[in-house]
Amino acid sequence: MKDMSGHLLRPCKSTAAFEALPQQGKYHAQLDLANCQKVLAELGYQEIADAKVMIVMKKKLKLQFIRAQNLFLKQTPEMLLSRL
Amino acid sequence: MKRINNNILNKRKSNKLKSNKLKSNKHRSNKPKSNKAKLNKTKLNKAQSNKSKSNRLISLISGGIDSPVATHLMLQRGASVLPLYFDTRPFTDENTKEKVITLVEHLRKLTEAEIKLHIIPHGENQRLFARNCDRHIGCILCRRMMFRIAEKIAIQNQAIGLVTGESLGQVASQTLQNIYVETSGISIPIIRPLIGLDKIEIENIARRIGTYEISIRPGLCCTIVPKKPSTNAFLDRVLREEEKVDMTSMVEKSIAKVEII
Repeated sequence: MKDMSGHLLRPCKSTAAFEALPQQGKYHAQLDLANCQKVLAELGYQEIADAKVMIVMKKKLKLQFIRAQNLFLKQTPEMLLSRL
Repeated sequence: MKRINNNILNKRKSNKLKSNKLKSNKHRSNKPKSNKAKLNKTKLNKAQSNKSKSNRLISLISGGIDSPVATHLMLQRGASVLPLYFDTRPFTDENTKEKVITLVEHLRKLTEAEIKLHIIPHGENQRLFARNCDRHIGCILCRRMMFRIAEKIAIQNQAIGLVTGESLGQVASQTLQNIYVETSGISIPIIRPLIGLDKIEIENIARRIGTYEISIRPGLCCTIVPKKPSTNAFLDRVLREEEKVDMTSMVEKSIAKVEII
C-alpha cells in the first residue's frame, strides 16, 4: 500500500479512470485486500462492494483494488461537481 | 331397366334438391352481415395484436459499439425492439448508463419507433459470482444470468426472441463454444445480426447511423473481468459452478428491481 513506485499509472482503455498496473517483474504477490480495506476504512473511505477478488471503496475518489494488483482510481461525480 | 332408370332419375333429383338447399342456406347465412362482420373484425384485431406481439424482440444493449448496431438493424427490418441494459455498477461507472440512455434516444429519433429502455441492476449478481464461483468462467456465468433474465423479460413483454451484438471470436465470451454454453437452456430464439461481421464492418455501420460517436465516449468498462477468461468452457463445469449460488432467486430479485425509461 505504501510503496506504489513499482506501478505504472495511466489512463485506462476507456479513459474514464486512471489505472495503476504493476510493472512486470517488480511484483509477483497478490494484493492483501483485507489490509487495503482496513487502511482505507481508517482514512474514512466507505466500502461500496467486496467481491473477494476486488474491493470498491469511495470517499472523494472511487478506488477499485483488484487482487492481481491492478488499481482503478476514479473521481466521484461529487468531486467533479465541486470543481465546476 | 325402367326401374333402374327411374331409380337413377330419383337419385339425381334428390341430389339437385340437396344442392339447392345448401345454396339457399349459404344465402341465408350471408344475410345477417352485421354480426358476422363484427366477429370477423374482432378476429382480425386479435390477429393484428398477435402479429404486433410476435414482432417484438428484446435487445441486450450495452454502451459499446456492437449492440446499438444490432438493435438498429432489427428495427430497420421492422421488428419492435425493447432494449435491455444490465447496470453493472459498482464495477462500472454511471457514464455507461448515461451512454446507453443517449444511444436509445438516438435510435428513437432515427427510427421514430416507441422504444422503452429496461434497466436491470446486475452488480450484485456479479459480486455473488466473484465471491462464490470459479473466476475464470465469471463472464460466462454473468452472461448466462443475463440471458435468463432477458428470457423472463421477453415472456413478460410477449416478445418472441432476443437480439445480441455478438460477433464470432471478437472477445473471450464470443467463441463458438462459449456462445453454446452461455445460451444453452434458453428456450426462445436468439438473433445475432452481427455474428459474421468483423469489427471494422460494424464500426462502419455505427458511423453511418451515428451511434459510433456516442459509443466511444468515456465510460468505465467492466472491471471485474478476470485476467484470464475462459475461451472454451464446458457446460457441465459451468452448471456445477452455478449450483454454488441461488440462480433462481438472483433472477427474481433482479427482475423485481427493473427500471423502465
